[in-house]
Amino acid sequence: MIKFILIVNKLGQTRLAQYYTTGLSINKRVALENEITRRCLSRKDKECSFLEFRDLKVIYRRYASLFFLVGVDEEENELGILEFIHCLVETLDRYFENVCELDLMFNIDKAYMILDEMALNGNIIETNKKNIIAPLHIIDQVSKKLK
Amino acid sequence: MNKNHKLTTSFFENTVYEKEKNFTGRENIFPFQIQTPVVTTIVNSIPPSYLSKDFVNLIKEVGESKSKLEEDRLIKVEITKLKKLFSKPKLKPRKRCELVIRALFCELLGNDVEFAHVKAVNSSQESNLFFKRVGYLAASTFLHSNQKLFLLMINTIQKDLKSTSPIVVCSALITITKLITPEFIPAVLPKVLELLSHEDKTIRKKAVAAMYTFLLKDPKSLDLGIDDFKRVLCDQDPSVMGAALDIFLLLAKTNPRLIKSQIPTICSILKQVIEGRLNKDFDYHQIHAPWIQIKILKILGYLGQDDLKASKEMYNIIIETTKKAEIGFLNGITAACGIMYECIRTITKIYPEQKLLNAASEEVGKFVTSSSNNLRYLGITALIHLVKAHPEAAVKHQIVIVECLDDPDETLRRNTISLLFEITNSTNIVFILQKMLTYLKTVTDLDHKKDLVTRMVKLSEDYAIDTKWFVSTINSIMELAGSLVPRDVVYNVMRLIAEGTEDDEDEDEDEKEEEENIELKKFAAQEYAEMLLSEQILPDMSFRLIIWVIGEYSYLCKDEFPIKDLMLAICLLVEKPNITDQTRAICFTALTKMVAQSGIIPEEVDDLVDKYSNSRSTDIQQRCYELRGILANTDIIDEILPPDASNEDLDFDIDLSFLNEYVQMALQNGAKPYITKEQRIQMENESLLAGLEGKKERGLRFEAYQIKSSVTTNMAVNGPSKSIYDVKTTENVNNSRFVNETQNEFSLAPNLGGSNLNKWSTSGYSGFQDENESDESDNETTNTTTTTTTTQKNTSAFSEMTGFGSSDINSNQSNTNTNTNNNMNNVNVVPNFVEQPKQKIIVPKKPRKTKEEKKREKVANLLFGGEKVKTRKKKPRKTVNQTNKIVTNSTNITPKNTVQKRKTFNQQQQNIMTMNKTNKQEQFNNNNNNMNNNMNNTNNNQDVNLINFEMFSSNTNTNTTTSTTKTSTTNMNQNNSQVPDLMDIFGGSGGGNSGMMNTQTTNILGQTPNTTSNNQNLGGGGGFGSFDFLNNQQSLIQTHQLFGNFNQDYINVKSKSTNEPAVLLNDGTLSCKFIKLYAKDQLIVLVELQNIANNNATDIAITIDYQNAMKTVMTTDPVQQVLSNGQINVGRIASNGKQNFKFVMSLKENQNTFFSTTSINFRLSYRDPNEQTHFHLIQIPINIGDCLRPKEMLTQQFGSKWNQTQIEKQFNLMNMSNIKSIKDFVTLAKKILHLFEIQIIGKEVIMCSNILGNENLICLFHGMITDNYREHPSISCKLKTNNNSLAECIRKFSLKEFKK
Repeated sequence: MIKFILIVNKLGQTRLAQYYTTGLSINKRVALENEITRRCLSRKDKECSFLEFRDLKVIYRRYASLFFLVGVDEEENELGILEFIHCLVETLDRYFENVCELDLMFNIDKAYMILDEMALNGNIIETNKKNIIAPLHIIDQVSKKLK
Repeated sequence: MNKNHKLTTSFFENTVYEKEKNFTGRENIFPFQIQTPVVTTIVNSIPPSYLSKDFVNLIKEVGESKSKLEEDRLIKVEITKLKKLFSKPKLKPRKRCELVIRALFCELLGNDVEFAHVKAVNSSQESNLFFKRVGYLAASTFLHSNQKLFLLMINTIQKDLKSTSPIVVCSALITITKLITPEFIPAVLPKVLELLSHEDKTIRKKAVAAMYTFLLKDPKSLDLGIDDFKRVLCDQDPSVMGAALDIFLLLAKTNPRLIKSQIPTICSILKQVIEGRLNKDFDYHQIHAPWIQIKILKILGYLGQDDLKASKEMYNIIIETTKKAEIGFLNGITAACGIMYECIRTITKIYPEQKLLNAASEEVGKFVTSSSNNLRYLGITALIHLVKAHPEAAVKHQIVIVECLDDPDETLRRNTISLLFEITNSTNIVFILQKMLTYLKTVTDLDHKKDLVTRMVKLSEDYAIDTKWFVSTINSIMELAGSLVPRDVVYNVMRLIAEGTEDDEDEDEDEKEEEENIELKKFAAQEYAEMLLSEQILPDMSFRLIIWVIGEYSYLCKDEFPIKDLMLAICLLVEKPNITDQTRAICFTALTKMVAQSGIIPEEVDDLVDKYSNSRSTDIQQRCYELRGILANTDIIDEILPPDASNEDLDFDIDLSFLNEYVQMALQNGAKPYITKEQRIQMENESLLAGLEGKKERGLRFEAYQIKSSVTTNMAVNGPSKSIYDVKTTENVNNSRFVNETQNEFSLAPNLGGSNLNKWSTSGYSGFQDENESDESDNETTNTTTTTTTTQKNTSAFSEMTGFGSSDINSNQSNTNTNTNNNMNNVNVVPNFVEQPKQKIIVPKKPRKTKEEKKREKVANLLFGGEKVKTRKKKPRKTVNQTNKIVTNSTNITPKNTVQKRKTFNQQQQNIMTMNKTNKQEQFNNNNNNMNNNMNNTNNNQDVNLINFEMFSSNTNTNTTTSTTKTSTTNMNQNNSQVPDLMDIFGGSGGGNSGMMNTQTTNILGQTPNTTSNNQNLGGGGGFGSFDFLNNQQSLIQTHQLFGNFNQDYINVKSKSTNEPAVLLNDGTLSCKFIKLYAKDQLIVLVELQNIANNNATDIAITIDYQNAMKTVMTTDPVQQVLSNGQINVGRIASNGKQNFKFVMSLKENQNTFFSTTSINFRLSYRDPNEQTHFHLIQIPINIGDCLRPKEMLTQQFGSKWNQTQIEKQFNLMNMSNIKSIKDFVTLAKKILHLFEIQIIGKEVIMCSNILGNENLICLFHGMITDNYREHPSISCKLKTNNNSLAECIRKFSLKEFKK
């Protein structure tokens, strides 16, 4: 099961964070994010994309300046998650048309909605990009009318 | 700026860069990454139209910020802005929606935006689709930490589930998955079930996800059969089916039986998937729905676990899936690698099938030989699973494994080490441990290190090739991570060195073995001597091991390491600031042994012993005195400290059968038979049921105890039958204590007494008292304890090995030699140990002592003040793994020895009894003198704080004795078998019938007024006691004076109005109680901590805020010391209230500040099983009443003081409904302000108290009933003190308290 999905930039600034476990206070969350990010950033390209941290396994992938980190439990398939990250990036890219860090910041609500379409309860629920983006387009139609 | 920003932030801004990276960094892993969408160099991010300019600018600034700090600063400004904006009345929905998004952004960056929570909920109630979705989104993110607000949303959610808009329904369903709590499931369940068959596939999918949430959060809420689940699984839409697989995975884990029948269905779904019959949209990089394949494989793994029949159904499809995935694997498609990895995991999980295992082994080879670290990592992980079913698998890949061990990638190394743990056996252990040690050096993560050390120790225990190797391996581990080595292991090593290898075979090899063992000891001594002399800084535990071994076996290596050098090194170590007192204590014992063995005592040692004879730690003091004592009697050295005897058995008579005669005699004389614990519990229950109305008062008795003088007289009168009293007495004392123990309440006293605090109490040695207590709770201790009383062998090393608790006993034991008075205590012990009156009575034989016996007795008397019989027997050798070896077998005792023992004990018994008959009174006096001497001694040691505690503990001790004597009289009445001793104070029962007690006491007093005044020791205290009795008043002061009988010191106990410990905290996990003890010159606060949950709370730590007035803080646990910063690292407390942790704070008056203290504060933190840390700030309220102590004075003195004292306060207590006469008021005043009543004249009273015995802070009190016209009287009070704020404090406090 996925415990969290995190997007941070190479300066360690959080750009998106979705947790699937409850009860994590904000302070704890920030500390966790800092620690994991610090460890990921210190790893070299050639080293494997996994990181064992406490009882968590963190699977991360770097895209230009952004790091996508997914924390999972022991049972999760590491490569499955690694590809899920890529699937997420592809989806974001399709939706935002050449996504960049700023897109995620401007459209933080949309980014969260995309995540909600792809994963619920810490499970991967949808990987079909068409299905993921369809509801967002409907919402966009509404939001674009707002001035 | 915008452009610039794009260049650095776009993911795919530079195709070349991305490609390069792929081909250098992850060439083999992600060959398909280049298929990602075409990247343009110029990207323009256009902010959405609904965002305000303000926010857009903020985002741009944040985007440009170079550090987290800068970002934080920007967000702080934004939050202040938002708070203002949110508080505006009549926010338009559109604006509110924007603000909620901004708040979401701030929350994401790690800020609490509680002010926005309600607005987010409001936004979700809008009808506009976008506002609603954003509202739900924000709420589900915010409300993770604030679930109360979810209550406000449940209505909206219910409504939205019925909406016609799929988006609205989906939003509601998503929110359900994130926020629903078990109690709200029924509110939405029917509708969600309905939605499972909705025509929109997106809604169906979300509904399935919601079902998963329900199943996860409250499995009982769903009463669904397999058909319901099957329906969603067979949904025509792959997405819905995919979501349904999650439910099946959950069921496969929690309730596999339910879905076992579905294996064919699941297999056929997998078949369809791998054959590509799903919509092409579900393909990912040419692989058909990889995540669905992985999910199904996982389900199959669970279903086939330990189930041959189920596994058989899936063998084929697994093979097929593996083959399909292999094609992708060879093309380097990551998703295919993932599927293959999952196949291997499933194969290792289900019922083993050789063909599949072989295939898996082959596939693993492809993983581990890959050049990608990701695949190698997974290959190693797969191997970890595989070797359990297929041990040969690892052998094939050994070269790769060794390579991975030296890989610079930490994750990979770590995983490989985990694999090593799996493949270790007795042939490769040496090499593997060596590798692990190398690895251990590189590890920095503490959690991981700890885990590693534990596993390494276990391996070396399991597969040790020989003891020498084991010892040196543990040494190496300790050098690298000593603080992480479990204590058990260290003791194990000690034991191992002492006992050598196990070999149960024939006796002929004994000699050879013996040689080997000596070799081992020598080796260990050399190793440790080297470590010690190198003066490296090691953890405390390692030092203890080193010192112990050197103490025991240094003579074996004296050629290489002169004993004198080692002794000096130990001296240096003792002086080091960073070692604990326990280790210091062990150092002194080691020195004692070395002095004994070598006969040399270097000057440095001598100086050190001098210095530490005044140590703060009683344990160290004790050991120093022991060392001195032994030096003074060099002829007994061989007897008490023979070389290399640590593993020899100490024989003792568990049943204490030698006492049977004594017990029998007592029974014949009318003593009560011993009642077992079970019987006592039963009796207690029955009496509780029988008399609920005669509700027994628990806790402190407020009426006086009978003063001792009367007892003395009694005995003089009754002459010959005195010994009967003794027996009755002790039985009763014990009974009452047991009752307390079964009550299981705040029984702090036994532990206070039982810790190393009170070895030197005012009544002299009090070890036996302790042992009584430990006897009840802990069998092991009992045995060790019994050893103490009956044998004298080399217990010191032995108890060192068994832990600190017993090392205390050890010192107690030797303590005895300086104190001949403990015969008294001995009497108390007797009935406690003799559990069975039914036991055979052994007729004593006239002691005809041989020369040898005499000599032994002499030694014993020197050491213990009693005697003992020694038998040394070689212990059967133990295995390395055995940890608890304290309990020795009583069958080891040879008949001859038993007889000897009996003889000597009978002898002693007689002594005791003679003493009792003739000398009781004298002994009391002696006792008292001793006490005083002791106190003086300690005083000289400038250790003022310590005395307080020793006095305190002596009180515990003394008090028990007091009750002892008293009960003997009460017993005549047959009414009151429960005697409150200090234990009662701590919430035990046994309050007894106070009225009865009172009359009883008064009677006796009446008979023996002269004795009271004649007895010097009882002098003042006794006098006042009787004064109060005659007034027949229950007051705290009586109790004070009662306790003051022995050493003019008193203790009174009170906590709030009840006498039970007050609960400070109870959060469901930890319960914290406290009780205040009032000593003459100090306030003692005892705090007890208990873990009442059924889970373990870990990392419990306490930090005490030191105050001026706080003099001493100590814990009752010898292991958990208070650090200098006021911190106590408690660690773990056993769950379900099985274990208590207690600590004590004593407060004394300091520069006139204490009485203004309002509370003692400490912080408590712990981690619950969910790894959440909890903090509590705990305040123990202190009021002026806690600091006031009665001050005795005569009326004339009061008069002159009254004139001298300057500051006067007046106040009136109006209309006091609870007061009828001046006496009522006096009683109340004594209770609240602890005033000493000097005189009552008509309607007036004068009273006096001071602050914690401080003569300069006196409080003179004058009260008068003034007004009888009202319904209730009023009291006009005047008080005089010499400190203004004190007067004000008392005034305010009185106004508040008297009204209650």
